[in-house]
Amino acid sequence: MRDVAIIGVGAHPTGKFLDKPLKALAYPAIWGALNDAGVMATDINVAYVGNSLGGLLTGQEGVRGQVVLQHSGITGIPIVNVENACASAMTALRGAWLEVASGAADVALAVGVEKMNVGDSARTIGALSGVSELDLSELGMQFTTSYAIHPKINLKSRMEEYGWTAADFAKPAVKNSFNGSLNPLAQHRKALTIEEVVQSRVIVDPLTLLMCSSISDGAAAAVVCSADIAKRFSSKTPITIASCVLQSGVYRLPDDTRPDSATTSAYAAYEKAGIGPEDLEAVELHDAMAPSELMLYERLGLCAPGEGPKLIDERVTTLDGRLPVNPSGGLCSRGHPVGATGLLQICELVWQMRGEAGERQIKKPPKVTLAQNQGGLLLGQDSAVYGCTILKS
Amino acid sequence: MEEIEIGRTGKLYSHTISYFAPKGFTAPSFQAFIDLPEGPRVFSLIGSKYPVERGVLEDGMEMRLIVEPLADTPEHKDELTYKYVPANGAAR
Repeated sequence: MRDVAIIGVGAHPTGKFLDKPLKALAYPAIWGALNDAGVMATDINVAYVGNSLGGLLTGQEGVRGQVVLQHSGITGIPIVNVENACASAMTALRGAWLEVASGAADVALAVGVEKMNVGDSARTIGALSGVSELDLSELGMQFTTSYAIHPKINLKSRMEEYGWTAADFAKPAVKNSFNGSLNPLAQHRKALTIEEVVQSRVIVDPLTLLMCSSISDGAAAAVVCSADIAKRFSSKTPITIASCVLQSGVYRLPDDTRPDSATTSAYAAYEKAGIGPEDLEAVELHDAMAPSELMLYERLGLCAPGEGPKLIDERVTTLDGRLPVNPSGGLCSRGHPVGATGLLQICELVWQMRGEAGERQIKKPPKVTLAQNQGGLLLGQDSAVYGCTILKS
Repeated sequence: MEEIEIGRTGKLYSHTISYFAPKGFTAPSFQAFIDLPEGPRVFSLIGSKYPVERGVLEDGMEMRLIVEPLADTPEHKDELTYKYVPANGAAR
């Protein structure tokens, strides 16, 4: 396998853009990435386009990638459509990485794009139900429930075992809203207080409105190439993909003692990259609901069980900490256009590693970073998709 | 792979109240996971006779399977499904 570098990234701001179709959201992200990389459309050998809900919400059930890329002037090449729920974009990146790593292509493009605002939030929520196995959603299970009482993230049991409180659940949202307040691409730019988060409307007990990521539109893209030709296109610091791991959930009975799938995918990524969690200098992770950030600290090996809130209290994971987590604002603040999120995470890490993150720049640009992205829900206690990418500069 | 028949009993693993619902369902609603003595842990709604309030259910309580319409909405009123209810009446 060849070493693969990310040489360009681009993103559309995240938010509510009712008048923009998928292709209009994707265009600035794609051309942002191409211009950033110094490549021409004709340099791209192959493209992977991630999107989750566009079939149901826009009616464009097939060939969304071809539609989106034709609008951006990229035609003729192999284009692969990727649907993997909230991990669609990370899956698209893995496809592009694999094309180049294998030697099948020299330059590849990964795109993630999502349009969730269609003027009818009941339709959007209905479409989101479709990323859970139908045997769950047809029975009336809400996706948000999976972040409240689902066995994989049973917050009530964390309250009992470790004494976590509603204020603890709010801490990631407060930390990330500050980061998001500095990010011009973020959907929500107000820095929140613990009280505001805890006292906002209850959505699914114990999750409140401001602990939840919201309905968003957005897009992100990355250009990857063989590391040995990176300098031909761009004089910027090349960022190497040290590992790009994709796993699917496993069926678990209640007495299953195997490690969580977020853990196994992260440790597979550490092993392939030849590092451990102690080597990380920045992380973007999948805080679709704020408390899931606390659970993911444990699962990525950043702290011992139950100690998540301490990482924020002791300012380890804040923007000025030893290991900033979600410098972009994360899913709750930057926004969660589901099929674009994985590449929005990658964009943020690349900007931070190059020292291009503006007001929210981590003081010493990180050299080793990790993006964790997951999606969907299956019968049997697991998410459907787990993606984990480690970058080095 | 083998099919097994399940009985009508289970134990409430965990539950919550959802204050929003997609089209075809109503809010607030109980959302629950039930541990079956046969092994699996299953998602279930709670029988509609029980008021959707805190304190009505208690994790760990014995539950009993019933069959009733999926939701009291035009979309699902004629569709029967399984739900669970407290085996010996509500916690309070």
